[in-house]
Amino acid sequence: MNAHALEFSQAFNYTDLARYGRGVFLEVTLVANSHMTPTLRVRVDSAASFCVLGRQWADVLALDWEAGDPVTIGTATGTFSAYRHDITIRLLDYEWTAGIAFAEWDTTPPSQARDVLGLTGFFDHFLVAIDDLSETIYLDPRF
Amino acid sequence: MSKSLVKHPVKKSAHPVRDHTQEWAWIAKHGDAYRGQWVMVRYDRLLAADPNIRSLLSRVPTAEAADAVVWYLETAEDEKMAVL
Repeated sequence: MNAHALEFSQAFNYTDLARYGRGVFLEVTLVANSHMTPTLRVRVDSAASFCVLGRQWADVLALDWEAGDPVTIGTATGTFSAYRHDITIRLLDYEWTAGIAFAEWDTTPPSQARDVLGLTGFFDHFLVAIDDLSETIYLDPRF
Repeated sequence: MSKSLVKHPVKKSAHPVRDHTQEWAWIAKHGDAYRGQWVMVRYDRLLAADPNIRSLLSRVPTAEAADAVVWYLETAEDEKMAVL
């Protein structure tokens, strides 16, 4: 068997809120049009093709929702509409610009699961390892 | 290629996300009292709590909100729901 060693420059522990929601979370702030969201904990989801956020965040960022690239997102139970916009994401010491899909719905509890960092826009920017046993996510940016 | 599919590199931010240990500690300590609501917390101070996210956002000045943390505190019913 071959061993593989990977190195990560950042570790983020999500233990403190684990009792309020099962998931792997990271803290991000979104920036666009000189507007900034509060800091959000969004779910890390390698099963999601895109980063998807509730529409209320598009409004906080003063985005013209329907001026983005239209996309239909499929789920296990159906589809919903979203528009993708290029925005800046800040995470720890890093920032990058990515096309984020803002859904037709607001993030309505108990659906923090709907605010997710997915493959395009997140996993294609970072090497990621999750140690869920110790509730820690390891990251290394792809500069 | 669609503009939003162009890949931009990650860079060191001139505005790194501030450490929010105080906010998460506040939520962990007081969160049970706000289950079923969104909370917005800045340092060790609750700015607002509301079951509706838009209502919550409308109640806090933008500049203050931009330096705060937002989180939804699940109810016991919410916790029965598995996430796909």
